[in-house]
Amino acid sequence: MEKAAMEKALLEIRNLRATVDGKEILKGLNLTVMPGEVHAIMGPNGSGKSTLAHILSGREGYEITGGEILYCGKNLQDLKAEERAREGIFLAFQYPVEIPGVNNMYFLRTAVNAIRAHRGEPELDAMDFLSFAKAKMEKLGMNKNLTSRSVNEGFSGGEKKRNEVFQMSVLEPKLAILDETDSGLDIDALKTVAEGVNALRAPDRSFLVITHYQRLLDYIVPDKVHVLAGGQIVKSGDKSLALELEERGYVWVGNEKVETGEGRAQG
Amino acid sequence: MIASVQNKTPFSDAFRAGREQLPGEAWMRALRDSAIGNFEEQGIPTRKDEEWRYLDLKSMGKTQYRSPSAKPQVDEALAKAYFLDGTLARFCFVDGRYDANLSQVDDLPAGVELLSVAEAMSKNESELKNALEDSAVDSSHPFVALNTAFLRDGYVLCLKKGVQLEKPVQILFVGSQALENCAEHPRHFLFLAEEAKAEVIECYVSPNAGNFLNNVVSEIALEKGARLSLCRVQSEGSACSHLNYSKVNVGQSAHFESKVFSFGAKTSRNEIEIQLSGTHAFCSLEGLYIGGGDQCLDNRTVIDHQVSDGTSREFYKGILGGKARGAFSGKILVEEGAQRTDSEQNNRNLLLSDDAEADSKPQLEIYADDVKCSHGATVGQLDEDQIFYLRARGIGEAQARSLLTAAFAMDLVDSVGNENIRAFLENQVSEKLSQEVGQ
Amino acid sequence: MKIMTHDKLEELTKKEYKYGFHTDIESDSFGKGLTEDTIRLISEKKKEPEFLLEWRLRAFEHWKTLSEPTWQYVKFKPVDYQDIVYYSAPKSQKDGPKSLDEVDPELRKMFDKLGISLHEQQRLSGVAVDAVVDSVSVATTFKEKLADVGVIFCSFSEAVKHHPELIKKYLGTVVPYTDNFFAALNSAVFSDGSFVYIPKGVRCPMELSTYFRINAAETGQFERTLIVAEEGSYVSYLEGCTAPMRDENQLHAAVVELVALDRAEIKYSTVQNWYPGDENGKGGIYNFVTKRGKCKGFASKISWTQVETGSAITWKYPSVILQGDNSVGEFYSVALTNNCQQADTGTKMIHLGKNTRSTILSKGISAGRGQNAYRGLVKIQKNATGARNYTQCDSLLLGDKCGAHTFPYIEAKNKTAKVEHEATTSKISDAQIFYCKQRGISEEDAVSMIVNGFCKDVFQKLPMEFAVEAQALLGVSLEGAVG
Repeated sequence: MEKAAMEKALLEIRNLRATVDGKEILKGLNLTVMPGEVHAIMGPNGSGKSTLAHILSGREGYEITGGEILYCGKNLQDLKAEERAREGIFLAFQYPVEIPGVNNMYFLRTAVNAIRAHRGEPELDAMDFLSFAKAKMEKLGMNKNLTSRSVNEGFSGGEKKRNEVFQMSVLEPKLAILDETDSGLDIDALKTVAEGVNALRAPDRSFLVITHYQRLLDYIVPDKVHVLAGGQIVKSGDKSLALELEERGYVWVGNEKVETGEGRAQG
Repeated sequence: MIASVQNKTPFSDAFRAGREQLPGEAWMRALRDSAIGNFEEQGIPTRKDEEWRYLDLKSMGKTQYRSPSAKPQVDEALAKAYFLDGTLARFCFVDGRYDANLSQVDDLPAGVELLSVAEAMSKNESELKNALEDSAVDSSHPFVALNTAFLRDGYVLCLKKGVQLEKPVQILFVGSQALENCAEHPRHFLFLAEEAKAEVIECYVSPNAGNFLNNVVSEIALEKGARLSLCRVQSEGSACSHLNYSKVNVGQSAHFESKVFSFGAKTSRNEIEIQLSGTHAFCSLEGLYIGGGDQCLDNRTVIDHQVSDGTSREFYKGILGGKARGAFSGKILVEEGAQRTDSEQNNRNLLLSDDAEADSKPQLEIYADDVKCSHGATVGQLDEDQIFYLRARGIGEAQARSLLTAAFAMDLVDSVGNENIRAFLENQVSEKLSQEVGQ
Repeated sequence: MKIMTHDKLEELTKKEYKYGFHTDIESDSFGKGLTEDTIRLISEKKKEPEFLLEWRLRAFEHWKTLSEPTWQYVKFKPVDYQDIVYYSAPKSQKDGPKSLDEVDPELRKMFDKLGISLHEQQRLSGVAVDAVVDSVSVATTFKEKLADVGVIFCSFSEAVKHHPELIKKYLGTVVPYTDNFFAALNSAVFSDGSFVYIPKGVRCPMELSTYFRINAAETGQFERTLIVAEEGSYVSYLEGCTAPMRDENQLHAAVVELVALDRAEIKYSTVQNWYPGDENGKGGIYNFVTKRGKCKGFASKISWTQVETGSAITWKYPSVILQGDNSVGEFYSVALTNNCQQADTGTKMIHLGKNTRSTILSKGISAGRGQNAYRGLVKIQKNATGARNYTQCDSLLLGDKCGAHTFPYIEAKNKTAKVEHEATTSKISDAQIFYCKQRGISEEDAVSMIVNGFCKDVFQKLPMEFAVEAQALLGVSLEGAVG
């Protein structure tokens, strides 16, 4: 089982250790994600969830002090942020960034063409891109005026998150990392975003859903749930683990960790 | 030895005539001589000087200023009208000279030194000598030089490390009609050692002084973690000239807050130059200038972010009626390496009459890239929609206008923490507004 | 956590100056130096009427009493005004070409290389060009077509010859020769420039454009542009500039005067790309220009749009005197300084008439060791009841060795005035760069994209063709996709 996983895992993180400004945040993290799987990573504040998302997407400022990350069998650390994106890693940001004056669609077309160029495919011209993107927008029920606005500028919290999902649908990643996509959303917005994500589930696309609360997982049902605490995955299970967590709180796994040691951290 | 005369000014003769009577030892005399030379070299600034663009000092050049009498007539009732309740100490000056009878300094805790400059000079204090010599080295400011040439009194407030004052200290300057055609040059020194904390309110009052020049210079230094809140109320007589210059050095994590209320004088200039010389230093400069008649109220500030992580906030407001002119000129300088500077500056003006004028010159000069700086300036009238809203609720138009004008002015008062000072300021603002706006 | 490295920035901001070539054209020039005789000679060469010579000489007398201004926020070595050639004309132009076919083929090649074709059929049909090389106008396209609707578009010299009454009426009425040091100098020695006259009620059927080129060495360029828009007329005028790379600094001291009568509208756009000097600040053009428009008539409108990327030093304040009631003044500017470039630019909006309105939008970008200053004056005079101004100045800093400065002046003498000024300073945030990179966009493209986004509001004010050129000038290929 483990051997098979190694052969065709999309993402394999082995004993990952990382520091920020000299402070160790990840302390030997292990995780294996197979193609098509949806993994949820839950954990209390400060457990290292967002650090994991940032490290996977290549954000600078983190030092990897041990372990390795294999993506499609390749060592991810050798790749720059934009190369990872072009290889199919997509991060839906917890706080999508505003870029005043840069048109949303133009931005996305530049991204699409950078990725296409990387794959040796011809560029999409403005017209082709627009019809391609409009189709995606309709599918997601996006507001049309997003095409004429600047990237995330003046967007509401819900619009920003929906825009992230829209970008994901256009860029068609292999690995989508959703960093607290549910934060700051009311229940209706949450449902819309979740529907968008579910529509993108596919046999060749995996998801890493990072969240603090269980409620997102009512709508995006994960194959596996992991609890991240103190820089390690301390508990893994199926979706019922999320419900149990909801009921008993993170203190519960904290205690369990003390009792059982670190042996259960396999993904 | 008197430096060679470059430009004879109305002060030159007075200096030579009174030189021997001015207090101080030989070093002080030497300083005075070089200072008057320096002033004569620079001359009285004209509106052609960029930094003096909005202030007309022509009439100053036509006055032969004298020194006030050594034995001033004390108008106790006037002084007492400005006594603040709930202060820790009161330091009172009459016609520029310290008056022990009107002062109250008994309750000062250990570690606080509050004395007059005249006394410090008579004791020949070495700190005073050092401070004066330091400022004389760099007196590119003509009126600082002039002050050095003539200074005879003022106050010195020193707080030792960790001394924190719970109540404010009031400094009161009252001037009588004997000041007609006189010039006074008070010099103040405020020094707060590490983690010290003080609140000071200075009041300048001279309703009957006639053509009087009050040329105030302050030197202020805050060491690491020190906090000073300084409030100034200028209510000089309507024929006076009031020039007030302060140089403030704010050290690491120190905190300087200034509120300046300029109501009086025919010609008034309030200048504050801040050096944020330690990291994480903070300053807040606020000002309210209300003018009518032919008043000219000029404000100039410079905030120099010398090192990283400094924060500055600035908010000046002007209300101008009659033929008054109000000016604000504020420079934010962010030096190379002063990364993560966070600076906001704002100036708002309300013009109430056909002949009033508002000038605003906010400036940013930035040599570091990781900074957050913004400034804004507006000139305008009261919002007609707001006036209509009040009228629709039955309030007469005149009353609506004065209400809204007062609201515009009062938000600078509302943020004063000390209740007594706040009440005092509310009174002062209302009184000035009622003169200029009515009601 | 600094994502944008200095190297990247440098790479990005270090685009080579592609107009730096020099063309060998035989020229007819004077020796160096400036005396009354120089002025008489210029006037004689151009067979000018007496009134103009007299005006020049008065300007020269006045100039001699002035000294160079020092208040601007730029530092430069003093100019030796006796070490400049005040007149240089391509020799083949001696008697002026009778038609475009007679334009010297070398000159024509030069313009082709610059991407400015003088062949009418090759030009986009919407634009007429007046090409000015060194001191004189060498060609004006579409003259006849414009003449059909009564529009006069010609070199200044021709206007002096054929329309002296108009020159006499308007020359120096907006920028008198007493205005400032460089305006006085220009008034004394100006050699050529463009003249535009739009008759009453005419909407100029195409964009008019002047292309300025300094070619000869050690030559100053002192052109003068005058645009008069009669009642109810409209014109959009474009100006572009380039110069060869030379080690010595060259002086460009132009004067532009605009006059808009009742309900007339003049839109004046500039893409200034004079040689900026090398990365160590050697060489480059001193661009000391006086540009001013007068909204003389009721509800007239003057709009300045400028993209300033070139010159070692830029020192200019395209201004509007809002004299007519209900008139409108606008100023839209992008100024980029890189390497050792310095810019002190902005505008003056002088509100004289009632209900006059002005808008100022300035975007300054500083990179390398560049210093970029916005300086502006908004003056509301006593009778300008109901005047309005809105000013927005934004600075973007790329790197920690450059400077961004803002010096606005507001002077309001009317209580009904409403003046608002806002300014911000920012840098490109690491978060923005990372967001773009996470979507697969390279750092270079991300920076270009963000810089262009920063300038978008100004680019939108440019005519289409110029907007594209302006974006390209900032090192970007957005190809019109900006939203």
